[in-house]
Amino acid sequence: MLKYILYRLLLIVPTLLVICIFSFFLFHSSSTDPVDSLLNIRGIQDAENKYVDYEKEYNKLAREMKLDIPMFYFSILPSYYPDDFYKITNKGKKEKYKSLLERYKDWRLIQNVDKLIARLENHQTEPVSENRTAIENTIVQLKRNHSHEDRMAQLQFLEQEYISLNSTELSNEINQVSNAMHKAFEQNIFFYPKVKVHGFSNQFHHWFIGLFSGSKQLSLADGLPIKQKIKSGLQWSLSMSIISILLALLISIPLGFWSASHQNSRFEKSLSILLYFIYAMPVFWLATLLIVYFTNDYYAKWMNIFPSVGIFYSKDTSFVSQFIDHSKLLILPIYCLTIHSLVYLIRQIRMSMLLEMEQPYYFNALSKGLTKRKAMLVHILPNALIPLITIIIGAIPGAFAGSLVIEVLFNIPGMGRLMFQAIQLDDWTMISALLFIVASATVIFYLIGDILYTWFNPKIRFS
Amino acid sequence: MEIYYTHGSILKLDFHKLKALKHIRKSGLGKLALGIVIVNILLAIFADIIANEKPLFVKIDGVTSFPILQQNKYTKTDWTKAAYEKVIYPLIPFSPNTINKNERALLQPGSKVNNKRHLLGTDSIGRDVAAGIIHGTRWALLVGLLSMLMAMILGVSFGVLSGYFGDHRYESNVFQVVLFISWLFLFCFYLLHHSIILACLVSVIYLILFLLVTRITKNKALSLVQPFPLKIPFDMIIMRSIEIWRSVPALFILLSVMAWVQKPSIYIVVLIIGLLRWPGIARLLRAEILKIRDIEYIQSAKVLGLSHWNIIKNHVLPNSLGPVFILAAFGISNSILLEATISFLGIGASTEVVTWGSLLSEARSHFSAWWLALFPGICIFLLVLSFNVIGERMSGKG
Repeated sequence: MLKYILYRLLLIVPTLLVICIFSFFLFHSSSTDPVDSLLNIRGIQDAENKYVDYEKEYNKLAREMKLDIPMFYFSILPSYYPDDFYKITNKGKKEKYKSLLERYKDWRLIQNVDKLIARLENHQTEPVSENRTAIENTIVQLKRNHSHEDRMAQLQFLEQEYISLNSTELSNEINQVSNAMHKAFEQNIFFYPKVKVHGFSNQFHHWFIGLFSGSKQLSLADGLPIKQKIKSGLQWSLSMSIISILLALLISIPLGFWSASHQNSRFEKSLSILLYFIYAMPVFWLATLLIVYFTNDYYAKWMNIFPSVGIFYSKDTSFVSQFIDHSKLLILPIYCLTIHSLVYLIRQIRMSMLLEMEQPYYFNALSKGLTKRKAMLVHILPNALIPLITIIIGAIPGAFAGSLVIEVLFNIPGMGRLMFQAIQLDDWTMISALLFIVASATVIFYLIGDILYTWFNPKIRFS
Repeated sequence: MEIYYTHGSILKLDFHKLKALKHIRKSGLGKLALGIVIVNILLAIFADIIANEKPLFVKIDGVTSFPILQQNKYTKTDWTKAAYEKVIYPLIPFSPNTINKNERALLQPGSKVNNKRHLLGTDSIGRDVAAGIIHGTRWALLVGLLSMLMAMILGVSFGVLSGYFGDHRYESNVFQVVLFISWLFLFCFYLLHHSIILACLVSVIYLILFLLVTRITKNKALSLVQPFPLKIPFDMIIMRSIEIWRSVPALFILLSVMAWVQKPSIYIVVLIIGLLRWPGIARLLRAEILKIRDIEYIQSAKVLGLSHWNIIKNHVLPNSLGPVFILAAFGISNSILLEATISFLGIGASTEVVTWGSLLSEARSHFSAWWLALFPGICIFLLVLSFNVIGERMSGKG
């Protein structure tokens, strides 16, 4: 048994690693700039409330967030990338340089072009030409990233202008650079993958260590640390899911028992048809119908049973008192959460009890003289409930994820609504953290479920 | 255990499909469910003809034309104001996307606008609900069927690989494995960095090398190059990846990828739902194949000298695909529900595409419009129920 547990534990390590890497890279490959979002939230002001330089603040924050170190333990990049490419922290600049590198495949050329543009910007022409605004506009255009043909046309225009202004060395430089660009564009095709090892000082390592020692990640939606939000979200989701699972168990075990013992009666058949219909209803449709009809008195005064959703704010009091305060609001969401699992559990219990009733020991118990009810209660029910362990333990990771639709509809600040808001606001820190938490919870709880099932079922344990 | 003595190959699978369909046809509920599905498919195919604001047949100034069949010609005509001699409108004379520019109001079912009746009402900007439902059928069925098709193709391939070959059966040698892994790595690398030329060049070189290696290792005369045999553990690799896939709730992954992609479209939804469903099918197929893998007639086929591919195609697959089709039926209903959920939440196909979920999401903000909540929901409910009934009927008797 212990060997089995160790073997399974060993097997989930690659799964967890892949989940880590996936959530981390989802964060970093999105096109939102985390430093930009945080700066937008905080505002760029220093101690004397004066506006400071954007670039300086950007670099400072990027260094704080450790964005100027390489991303992973090793990197496999094409050979034309420079060795210090990871030091460019500005995401917009990074994208621009990436596409330029892809086109020309020559980093020195791109640096030369940048130097040239800087020189052109600072150059003062003695005789002010009529086309000065045109020249300035073209230089601004050059800084941005246009197609190769556009750039060549811009460079040629500048060359002509500078020739007409008699600044020959500038125009020669432009000529050289544009020739080099043209050559690079036509001829540089071949490259090979280069593997560089970066060691332990990289962003993934810091993120990974941060997972275990209290992550200091900031949410990109409002600049607050993630831990607080996730903790409160977990409280709501877990409590609601635990209540709904307990309710479902309380109702479904007697009902499943009853429907298995009165197997072919008319009531039972109509019950199973009704359950079938309820199971096929989409949860969000049921919830929408309930909200539309029963939370306001538009249709009839008597139908305004439940308080209207949408008035749901979290104060800074303790969680338990908040829960009790809002308990009336929670009746409908818990009902919606319960109904699906209830139907599923009733069908499962009924099916497993019917399977057990075909076993010889049931017949033996009946022929021994036990009443049908006693035989079912004492012998069959415990055996039929064993598969339920796997189901319930498999439902707990669902509790971690929250039910997204129900939480969004009824405006409950659980994990599902956190995820939804994070996706709407492009809050990638939160998204990757939530994915990691839910995925690891699923893996761990499935493992626990398997181990418990193996332990409970002696047939498997001793095989 | 029932074994169907196969008379033909996988391509003649109608042997099995007929049996399953026969079981469905026997029960009344199954017939109803099949009928609903067929009606939905017909509605989806002919959606443009049934619900469109262009008339079917119009005669203006002596010139007859069929505007519905000519898609691009009449995009800007205002059909309400033209002077007709004779005009025949389709059944629901609205397009799902036309906004009511004059009133922009929520209209009750049965109210009239310009002599045309909105049978099921409109939403808050004047789009007809009935037309939206009929065009939404098209998207729902597209998502359901296409994603399950993809999931089936992927799932059956991987299920067969992991179930039939297991951990010990596929013998290859080190050279082939090394070549394959390095080819995969270089190919993905070059594609990732947008260099299709180099990717194709690499593929060609590797193909030549692969053929050389296969020739050399199979040729007994050149026994100088001894192949180092290697058993590829397909089962372990594929089961690990299935576990990884199953760890996250489908909704989370779907939403994250939809947020990550710059231009969300419904085909990306199809792709991702297909990629999320294949592990279930692969697991089921693997379990089924494990049951029949060691039966005598398959071993005798091996003794006869049939190739692996032959055995799989003619003997293994026809006997194990039965439960997979049942899972596929349930998978179609699940995919339709998933797609409706994400368009309900507002993250899904773009805002111009009218699906059932997006119609339902309007109901959230307008409580008085009960027709927005009721009718699209009934459609989703009926279609999902029909696929569930078909799935259950296929499994109950077969």
